[in-house]
Amino acid sequence: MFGYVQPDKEELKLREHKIYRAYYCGLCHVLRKKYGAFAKFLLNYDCTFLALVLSLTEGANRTWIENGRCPVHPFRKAEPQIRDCKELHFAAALNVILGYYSLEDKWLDDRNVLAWAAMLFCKSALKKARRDFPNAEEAVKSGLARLHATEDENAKDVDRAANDSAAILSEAVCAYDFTDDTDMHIMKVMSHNLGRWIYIADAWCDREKDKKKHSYNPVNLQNLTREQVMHLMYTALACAKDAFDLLNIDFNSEFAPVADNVFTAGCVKVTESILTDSYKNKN
Amino acid sequence: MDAYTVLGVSRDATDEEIKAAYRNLVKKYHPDKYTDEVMKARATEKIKEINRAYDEITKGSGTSDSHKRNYSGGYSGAYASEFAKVEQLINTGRYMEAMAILDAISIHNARWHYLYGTLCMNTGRHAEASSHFETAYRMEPDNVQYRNSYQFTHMNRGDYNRTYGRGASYSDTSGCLCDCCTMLSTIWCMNTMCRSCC
Repeated sequence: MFGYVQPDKEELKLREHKIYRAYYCGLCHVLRKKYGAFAKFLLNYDCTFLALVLSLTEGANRTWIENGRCPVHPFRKAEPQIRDCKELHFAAALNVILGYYSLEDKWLDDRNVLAWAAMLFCKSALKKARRDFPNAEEAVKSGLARLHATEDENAKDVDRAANDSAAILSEAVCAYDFTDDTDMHIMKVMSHNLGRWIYIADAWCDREKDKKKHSYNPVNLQNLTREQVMHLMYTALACAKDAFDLLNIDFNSEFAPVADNVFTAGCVKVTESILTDSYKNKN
Repeated sequence: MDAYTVLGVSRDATDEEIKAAYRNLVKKYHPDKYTDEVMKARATEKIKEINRAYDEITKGSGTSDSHKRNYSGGYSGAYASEFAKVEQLINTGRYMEAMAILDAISIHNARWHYLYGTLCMNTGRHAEASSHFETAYRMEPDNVQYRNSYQFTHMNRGDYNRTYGRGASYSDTSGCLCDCCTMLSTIWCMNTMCRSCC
């Protein structure tokens, strides 16, 4: 279910693309350094975006290493990497926690043996992430329990399922040590709406598969049309963007257009490709 | 922050550019977009900052016409006092109490559906909100508030891009600063926001 929140690279300036890459590689680097070699396979775009937005609330003056070496791609030209900082650490921990529980979901729902094996390898990373941010892990775990209860009830209401799923992300984000309470509240609203957008996107993508396997899916249960799903996705995205605009960040900084692109171009492109069933997950 | 940075324009920007940037920011941070108490307060803060910056830059040039808010009269039909109470409760985040009052009202007119939809929006129930907004809009298609909320929950790519797309509203630098004139094409701008026209 990961990786929907991404920029539209074609719309980024070269410099902006470099900043985005620096966050992506920086996050991967922190994952490996803090949570072990296997953790980096959990790396996803959503947490990269989170790190970027958190950085903006911290003043967006992060420095990067110009020639970061990448052990995954040793022969590739060296990439810029944001240096380890508070928000990268948090994003990495959340990445591990969300990634681990999504593997667990895959194992429980589909009996996917690969997911089970990956869980084994990532177990120690999860323990470390839990140690660093116990509240984030607790939020994800209790949020998932609520979502599973909704699924078990076969609740028809798409809003309920989407909100349960969104709460996982929004509650977990609160575990971050924000310098400003209002910013925390706004980040919560933003991530909640992004969470809704992700859930609805995912439910639409999986509707055929879930129908065949008789799995829970509110899009099928409520017989939502493509148009209704489109309205729901754009409403959630608009609410997330409205929240993002209110954050106390310097919109003139060179980092801001990268995050802005995610809302104004990246997620729009993903929405359209999901609705036309042409979305390919490149994450 | 100095005034030019607040508006995000360079020091040698033309009057037109300043006006366009200002207008765009007012639209972006319009407090009416937010019903959440905390976020409304932050938006009001931002608008004040933007107005100050705009007034500072245009001071003496005779072009200062920053947006001041003046709320025009509201709803005055059946259950007016209950609905006013509901609105106030929603604005202060007391959703359960607002819901209780709405549930007790048996006449479901356009206002009722609009407020019920707003309540749903604030509690994240967008699917439910969209059907109430639609009903309110169908009952009273001339009401700007109902139309705006209906449009907000019924966006397609084009609508979204027009409102949120990068630089979308910079392209429109027509002489009139007031958004009322172009309101049919924008989603959230309220007709109560300017003193200077319409």
